[in-house]
Order: sequence, then structure tokens, then C-alpha cells
Amino acid sequence: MTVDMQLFEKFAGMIPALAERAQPPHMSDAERVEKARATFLANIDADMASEMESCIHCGHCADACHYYVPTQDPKYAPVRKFELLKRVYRRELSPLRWLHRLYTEDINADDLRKWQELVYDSCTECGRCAMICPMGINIAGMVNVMRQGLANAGIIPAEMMAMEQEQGAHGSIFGVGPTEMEQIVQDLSRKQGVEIPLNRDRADILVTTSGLDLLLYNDVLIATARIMNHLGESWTLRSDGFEAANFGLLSGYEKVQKAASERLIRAAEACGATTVIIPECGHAYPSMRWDAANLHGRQLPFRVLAISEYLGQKVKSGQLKLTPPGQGQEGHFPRSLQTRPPFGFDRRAPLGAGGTRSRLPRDGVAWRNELVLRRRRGCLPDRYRRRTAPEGLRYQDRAGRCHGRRFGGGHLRQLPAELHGGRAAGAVGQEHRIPGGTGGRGAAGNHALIKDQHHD
Amino acid sequence: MTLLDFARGPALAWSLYILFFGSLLRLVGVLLARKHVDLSQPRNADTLGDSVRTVFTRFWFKPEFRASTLFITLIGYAMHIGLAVVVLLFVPHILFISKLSGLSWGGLPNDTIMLAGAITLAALVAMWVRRLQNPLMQAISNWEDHLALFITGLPVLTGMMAYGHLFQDYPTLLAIHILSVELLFVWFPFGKLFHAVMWIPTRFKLGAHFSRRGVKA
Ligand code: SF4
Ligand code: SF4
Repeated sequence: MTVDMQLFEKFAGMIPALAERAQPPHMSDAERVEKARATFLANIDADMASEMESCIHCGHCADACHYYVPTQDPKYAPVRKFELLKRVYRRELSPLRWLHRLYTEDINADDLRKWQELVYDSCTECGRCAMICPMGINIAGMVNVMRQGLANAGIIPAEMMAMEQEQGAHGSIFGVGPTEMEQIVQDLSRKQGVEIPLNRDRADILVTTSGLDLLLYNDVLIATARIMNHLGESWTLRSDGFEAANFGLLSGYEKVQKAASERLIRAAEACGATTVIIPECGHAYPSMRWDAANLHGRQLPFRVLAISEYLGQKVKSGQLKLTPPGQGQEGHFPRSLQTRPPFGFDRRAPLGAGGTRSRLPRDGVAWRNELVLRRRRGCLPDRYRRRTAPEGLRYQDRAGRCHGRRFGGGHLRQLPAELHGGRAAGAVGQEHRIPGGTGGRGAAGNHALIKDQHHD
Repeated sequence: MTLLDFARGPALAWSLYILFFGSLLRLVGVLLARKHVDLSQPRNADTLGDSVRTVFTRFWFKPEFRASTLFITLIGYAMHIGLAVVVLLFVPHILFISKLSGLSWGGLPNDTIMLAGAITLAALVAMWVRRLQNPLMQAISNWEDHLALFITGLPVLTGMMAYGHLFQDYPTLLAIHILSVELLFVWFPFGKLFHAVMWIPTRFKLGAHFSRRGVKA
């Protein structure tokens, strides 16, 4: 994996400036509260009702949360993160609302502002807390509804709001719209000598990507193209539906989430694709795989696969051969794909910064540094320290995360080197070190943790 | 009417009505809440087995969480098992239940029951101290949590006092014991003690949710 470091630094420098581009909606506090309340009420279903009636305030969930464990700060207890939702539920929907109203405080705009930090900056919706909760409460799902309420109330972190607004208004991310995408893909194809079928009218597989991959991590796309061509697939990239990242889902703003997934659905339908492949991105996958049909209002006429899931199937079927162990590099994939579908839960999913990178943190760099320092000081229980201690501060390149998964007797990182440009690097990239960079476990550690695989 | 007559008569009847109808109201209200139809393609269409499994696997934590949860889980079990032994295996309780329902079974020696009661009380105190002392527990606790511990502990304490004939006045102590049980009955459907019912549907639903997505819960 090669990353143009100048471009990378430029990008990193752009993140703080994003906030200035956000255009917060003008709303009175009363309107904000009403919007949040209405969103909560519309989204609470029987499962959530049952969960909110069950919590025993035992605190176990905190011991699973990668925000609480290294900081030991009670404010990060997962059970606190859905408190506003619970208050609205208890006052307005619960069968005992006539009683609860007597002693359950209503929500107000200050509460919404206070909870912004907890639901956006302090939760990756990784789902780990649901694995420890003795009552079986799915906190991540409720945090997502919290985000939806806050998003409709216009209380989204400014950087995220800027991204969500760009995707909502123009369908682009970091300025990469259809024209830019076509340009980049054609340039890449020419320079790298790899055929990338663009805007085909008919194809079995629609491959999606992301603006960030096109701009910064385009080795990922080249590697994907090599593999698809190697397999002889009928596939295409389409400029009318290529952006898999979904800032609507990430921010909780459903309108944008739907618009983004509809673009992909239309593009897939236009070329008759029976499979849509989602690149490495912790939120793109659940957005398309689980949410898109519900927002669309009917079942999708194609299957949705994460790239690593697709590759795994090819390895299992023998169409892709793996190189012997030791000759490849380690890969990695997002924690949200570990703890949530498609792979099944890896209970030893790391307490690391991998997942936290998917947000746009205002103080994220400082936070991750702190996390790493705490680990190094030994503030984590042994079992975590052993698995997470980085040998040096190490920045985990996003592109290297996708394929750290074992399928059958082999590992996706053992894909033949020629498929990723002569560098053995997972299917699509390898870890990149930046001295003094931030957080994140090395990808290497991850593999020691992978077990309990789910096979398709 | 003496206090004991009141406790054994109208107070018992009313508390049982409240227990039954309050629980029914809450449970049915929750189970009948609106369901969202999921149109996404399931990974597993048949989730029943996994759902039932999750109801049982959550009785014990996953190995990764052992260090952080073992102690408090054991205390929780000491409390719950101790309480079950005291409630269901103390001979006078069996006679009482038998009068109400016609069902009967064998009990344990009184000394064993007292030991179980003491363990239950000690566990409740440990849970309460943790709630008061631990910064995490302080942050997530509210008055309902404290009340639940108190309401659970009171019948055990008064029962042990009555059995030991403390303070001599047995009928009054017995009446207080029965009233404390009735207080538990009355509060049960409205507070967090209701988790004693909710754990089944909630675990089941989580199991179904994850199974549908192909995740081991
Ligand atoms: S682990 Fe579950 S029951 Fe316990 S506090 Fe957290 S959400 Fe509530
Ligand atoms: S979903 Fe993950 S990050 Fe969010 S509260 Fe639960 S454990 Fe913490």
C-alpha cells in the first residue's frame, strides 16, 4: 500500500476546517426538543421497549466498552448513552407512563447538547456491550436512535454535519462526485494498466468505493479491480452510484442515509447487478446490508456483500488461492464488522482505535493518544494489555484493515501478491507506520483474536 | 382486626391483585408494542433455536469478561439463589403457598434456611455498598435501584427476626414480615424488580436479532 503522504497530510489538515463548512439549522430549543422527541417516539419498537423495561443498572456493560475501560470515567457507561431515549419512553410510551411521569424528568435542549458527546464522540456502535449485558440489551441500536433524534434536532458535531450536508446536497464526499470519480478511475486505470469497467450497462456485480479511497487510498481500488478481473467477473463501477460511505447513517440523519443508499440501489438496478460489493467501511456495510431495504420500503433485488465476505467466498470455493502462511502481510477489518455482521461476533474484538476512526472526532487525535498512553502505562486489565499493547505508536492505515479474516485453512492476507500490485499486503493494502502517529492496534494483533468465524 | 389479621387478610388479597394485574399490564403492554417489519434479507431465517439459546447463555458471562464480572456475578447468584431457597424451601412458606394454591413440596431444615437468609442479606448489603461506593455505580444508580434492594432485603430481614423471636412479640413481627412481603408484591410490577419477568423476552429478542444477522450472541 502506498499513500501519498503529502496528500494525506493535506487531508488531515482539512478535517478541522470541515466544521466551518457546516450550516447548522436554525431552530429554537423547543423545536429541537420536539424534533428529538418525535424521532425517538417514531423509532422505539417492541424490542427497544422490552430492553428499556429490563435494565437493572448493573453496570456490566461499562466493562465491555472501549471508552470506559481505558478511562474508567463513569460518563462513558453504555447504559448512560441511551438515557434520554429511556426518559422519553418512560414518560410517553411505557405501559406505566402514568406512573413514570410523576418522577421521570422530561428531556430538554441542554440534555440534547450534553448527550451529543456521548452518542457521537463516545460510541462507535460496535455492539460489544450487548455481548456482556445479562439482560440482553442492544445498546448500540438505541444509541443509533439517539443519534437520529439529535440529528433531527440539528445537534450533530459540526464536522460530521458538514460531511452529511455535502453528501445530502451533492451526493459527494470530499468533493468527489460523478465527474471527479470518472476522471480518477480513468486516470488510475491508465496509469496502473488495470482494466476498470466503468459505467457498464450490464454487469452481474456492482462494486462500490468511496471518495476517500479514490483520493487517498486508491491502491485499494486497483487491488479490487485486479481481483475482480482475475476472477473473470462481470463487474462494473458506476459513477451514478459508487459512494458506499454513508454519512446519513453515521450522523443519524435518515434522509441523507436513504438518499445515499437509493443511489446505489438505482445504479445496481440500472445495470441489472445481482450482487453489490461494499468496500471496507464499518458503516457502509450495515447501511446497505441491513438498513437500505427498510428505507427503500421493499426487499432489494440483489445481495449485498462486504468485499472481505465476497473474497472469503471465493477462497472457500477455490476460485482464489492463498499464498502460504508467512509470505503475506497482515490485514485488518473494521471492528463493526467483527462485532456486528457479517462476520459474527469476535468477543475479543480489540479495545482500540480502529472503530473510533470512523467518526470525525473534534478531539479524536488527543483522545486516541490518551488511550494509547493509558494502555502503555498499564491502565488496562492484563487481558487487554496483552492484546493491545502497541510496540510503538502506530497509525493504522485505513486501507489495510479489510481482510484480516481466516477462511477455512487460510487467511485472506495470504492472497497472492500479484493481485495487489506485487506487494503482499492483505488483499488491498498493508499497515503503514507513521512515527509519532496515533492510536490503533497494529493489525497484527488482530489475527490472534480472530475466532468464532461465521462462514457464509 | 389485629395487624396480623390485616396482613393475612385484605392486605394479602390486594397485594396479590396488584402483583398479578400490574405485571400483566406491564408485560402485555411491552410485548404488544409496535414491531418494525425488517425487509432486509436475513442471514438466518429460522432464529428460534438461537433465541432460546441466548435466553440461557446469558446466565453466565463470556470468558473475556471474567475478570470484571466474576465477583459481582457470584454475589448476584448468592442473592438470587439464597432468596429462592428461603422463599420456596422454608416449611412455613410451603404451607402458606399450599393453602393458596394447593401445591406442596418438601422443605429444608430451618437452620439451612437461616443460613441461606443470612447469605442473601449479606449479598444484598454487598450489592448496596458497591452501588454507594463505586463511582461507576454511583453514576448510573437512581432511587429506584436503592429501593429495589431495600424492598428485597426487608422480607428476609423481618422473616429472620420473626423466626428468631427477636423482640418477643411474635405476632407483630410476623405481621410486619408478611406486610413487607406484600410491599414487595405491590412494588414488583412497577419497579426494576420486574426484570425477574423481563429477562426472558429481552434475551430472546436479542438472540433473534443477532441470529437473523448471523451473529453469535
Ligand atoms: S449491562 Fe445491561 S442491564 Fe446492566 S446496566 Fe448495562 S444495559 Fe443495563
Ligand atoms: S456500542 Fe461499543 S462503543 Fe458504544 S457503548 Fe457499546 S461498547 Fe461502547
